[in-house]
Amino acid sequence: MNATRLEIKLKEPNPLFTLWLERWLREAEQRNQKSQHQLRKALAALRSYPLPLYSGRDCAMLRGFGATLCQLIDAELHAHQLTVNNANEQRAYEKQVQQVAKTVQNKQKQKEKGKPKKLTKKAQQALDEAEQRARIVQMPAGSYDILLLVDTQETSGKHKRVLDQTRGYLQTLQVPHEVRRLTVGDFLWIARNAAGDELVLPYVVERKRMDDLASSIRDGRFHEQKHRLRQCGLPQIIYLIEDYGDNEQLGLPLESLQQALANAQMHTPGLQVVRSENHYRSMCYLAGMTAALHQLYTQAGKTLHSVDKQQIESSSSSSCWSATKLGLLKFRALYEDSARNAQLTVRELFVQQLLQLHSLSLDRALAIVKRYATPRLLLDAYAACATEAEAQLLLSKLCCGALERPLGEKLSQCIHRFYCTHW
Amino acid sequence: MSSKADKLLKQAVKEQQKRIKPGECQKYVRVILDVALRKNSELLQQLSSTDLKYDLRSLPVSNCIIWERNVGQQTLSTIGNGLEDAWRLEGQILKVYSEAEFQHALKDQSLTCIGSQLQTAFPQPNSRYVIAVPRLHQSKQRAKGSVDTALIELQLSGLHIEQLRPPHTQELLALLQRYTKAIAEMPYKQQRQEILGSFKKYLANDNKQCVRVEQGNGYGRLWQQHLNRLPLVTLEVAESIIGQYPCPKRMLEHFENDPDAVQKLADVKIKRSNGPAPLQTERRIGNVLSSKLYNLYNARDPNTLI
Repeated sequence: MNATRLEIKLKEPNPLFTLWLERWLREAEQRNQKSQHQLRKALAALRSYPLPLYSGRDCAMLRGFGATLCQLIDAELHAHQLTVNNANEQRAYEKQVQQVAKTVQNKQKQKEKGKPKKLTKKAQQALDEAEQRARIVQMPAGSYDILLLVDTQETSGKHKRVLDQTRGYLQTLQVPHEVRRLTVGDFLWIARNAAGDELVLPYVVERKRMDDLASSIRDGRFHEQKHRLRQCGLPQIIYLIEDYGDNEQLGLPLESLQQALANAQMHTPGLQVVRSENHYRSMCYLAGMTAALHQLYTQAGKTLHSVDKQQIESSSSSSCWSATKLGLLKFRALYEDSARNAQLTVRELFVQQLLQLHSLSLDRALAIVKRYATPRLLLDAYAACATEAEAQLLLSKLCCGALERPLGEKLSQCIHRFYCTHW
Repeated sequence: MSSKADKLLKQAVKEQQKRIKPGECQKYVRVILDVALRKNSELLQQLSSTDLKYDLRSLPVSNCIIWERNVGQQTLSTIGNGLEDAWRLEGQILKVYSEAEFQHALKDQSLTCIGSQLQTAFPQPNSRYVIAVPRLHQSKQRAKGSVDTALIELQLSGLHIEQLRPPHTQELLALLQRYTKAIAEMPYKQQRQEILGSFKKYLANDNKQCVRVEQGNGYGRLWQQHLNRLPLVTLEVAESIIGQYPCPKRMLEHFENDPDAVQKLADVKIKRSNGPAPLQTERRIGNVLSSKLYNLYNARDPNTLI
C-alpha cells in the first residue's frame, strides 16, 4: 500500500504566545518601559520560528527570551488552560488538519485519473487474449463450412506411415480435412466461418484398433481416456473400434474386450461404439459422418453460437440432431481446457497426494478432504489440538464411503506423523 | 427413537450396497423378451442353458427386449403370504431385426422412424434405444454404401446400433449376456462416477505405486511421491527438493519462519545425473514451481489453481 507523508506547515505556529507578546509589547510601548526592546526582539524571533512551542520553557532557546519572559508565559499559559475556549480550539485545530489531509488526497486522486496507465506488452497481450476468449461468436446458417480435424498423433504403433495412410484415404474419399494437434480425441469436426472463428461440433472420435484397446485396458489407460473424453465437454463420444486381423492374439480374451465396450456404452452417457473391419473402412465411416454432418448442419440450416463448457447442457444425440440453434465450444477453448498439463486445484492435488499412502482408498481420501479441503486446513487443525495424542487421533473417527466406516487410528497416526514430525 | 431409525437406515444402505456389488448384482436383474421372439426357438433354447433369468411378455413393440431389476420386497403379495419383489424397468431397450426384416425396413425406409417409435412406446427418461441388425456382407458395393449412410444417420439421431455377425442367434445371445452384466453393474458404476466425475483428473489410477510406511524408508518415499504429484516435477527435481527438505515439516517450518523462503527454494540447484552439459535449461527449481509448492501448503481455498 502506498502511503504519503504529509508535512503540515502552520502559517502561524504559535498564535497564542504571539498574541500575548504583542499585547505586552504594546503595553510596554505605551508605558515607554525598557522591556519593550527585549520584547520586540523576542516577538521577531517567535514570528520567524516555524514550529509550535508548548510552554514558556520551550521558548528559552529563542533569541530575546530570558528567564523572566519564559516564566511570564508559563504563568499566562497556566491561567489560559483553565478556560473552556482551549478545548474548542484544540478540536477546531484537529478538524482543520483533517481537512487539509483530505484536500491533498483528492488532489492526488485527480492527478492519477488524468494519467493513463501504461501497460507492459505482456499485460496488453494478456488483456487482448482475455477479450478474445470472452467474445461470443455467432454463426448463422450458411456462414460456415464443416471440416474434419485429424490429430497429428493419430497413429497406431506410432508410425508416421499410418498418418500418411489416413490422409491418403481421406483424400481419395474427398473429405475436406485438416491435420492439427488435438488435445483430446483423434478426430473432431469444426464449423469455420470466413473470419476464421472455429466452433467444435458436439462429436469426438477416438479411434482404437483392437490390439490398442487390449493394451490400454491392461495398463489402465482405457479408463483414464474415457474420463478425459467425458470431461472435455463434447456430449457425443464415438469409439471407432477397428478389427485387428482376426481379432485373435490380442493379449486379452475377445469376450473381455467386448464386455469392456458394452460397459463403456452403458455406463457413459453419449458414448457409442462403431465397429469397422480395417483402416480404410474406418476412413469411409469418417467420410460418411462428414457428409451426414454437412447435411445436418449446413443444408438443414443450423445456427451456431459459442458457449462455455459450463453452459453446455448434457445434450443428447437426438437434441443435437433436431435443434435449429446450437451452442458449441470454441476450438481454442477446448484445446486449452483439455490439455494434459492444465492446472489442477489444490483440492485435487491434495487427494492425489493422500492416495499415495497404502491402504488409503479413494473413499477415505475423499472423507479427509471433505473435512479438511487443503493441506493448510489440516495443518491448522493439528495446530489447534491441545495435545499431541489428540492430533494423532484427529482423523481416526472420520466416516468414509457409503457404509460410513471410520478411518481408523493407524491411518490417522500415520498421516499425523508424516506432516507434523521430523521422521 | 432416532437411533432405531438410524439403524434401519444403515441396514437399508448396507443391503443396497450388497445388491449393486459387481458379481452379486447379476442375481437381481432379469431379461424380458417380447412374445414374438418365441419363434426363434434356437434363441430360447440357448438362453435357458445360461444363468440368465428371463421371461416372455407381450411388449408394446414387437421383437423388443427390455431389462428389469429387483429392487427389494416392497409390496404385499396378492398370491399367498409374504412380500412380493418389486421390479423396476431399466432404461435399455433393444429391438432385434432378422435379416429379412432388416432388408425390408431399409427398402421401405421404416428404419428412420424406429427411433421415435421406440421412444413413444418406452418413454422412460434417459433411456437408451438400440437396434440389433445383422451385419450385411459387402455383396454390392453401392448397396452397402447406402446402408452405411442410413446407419450413420440413425446414429446421429440418437439410436444405438449393434451389428451382429453370423451365426446371428449365438451372437445375439452373447450380446444379451454382455448387456445384462453391464446393466446389472450400472448403479455401482454410477455411484463411482458421482465421485470420480467431480474431479477433472482421473484419480482411480494412482494406486499402483502406493507406499507402505511400516517398512524402513516408507515416509521418505511417500514424501517423494507427494512431490511427484505436482506437474513438471521430475525425479531429479523431487530429489533436489528432498535434499533441501528431508521431510515436509522442514519445508513448512521454512515457509512459516523465513519470508524469503520461496525465493530460496526457487534458487535450489537441481542435481542432474548426466553431469555438467554446455546447454542446461533449468538448473534451478525456479520461481514457478517454488510458488506452486508454497500455494499448495498454504492455501485455504481448495479451488486455488496450481
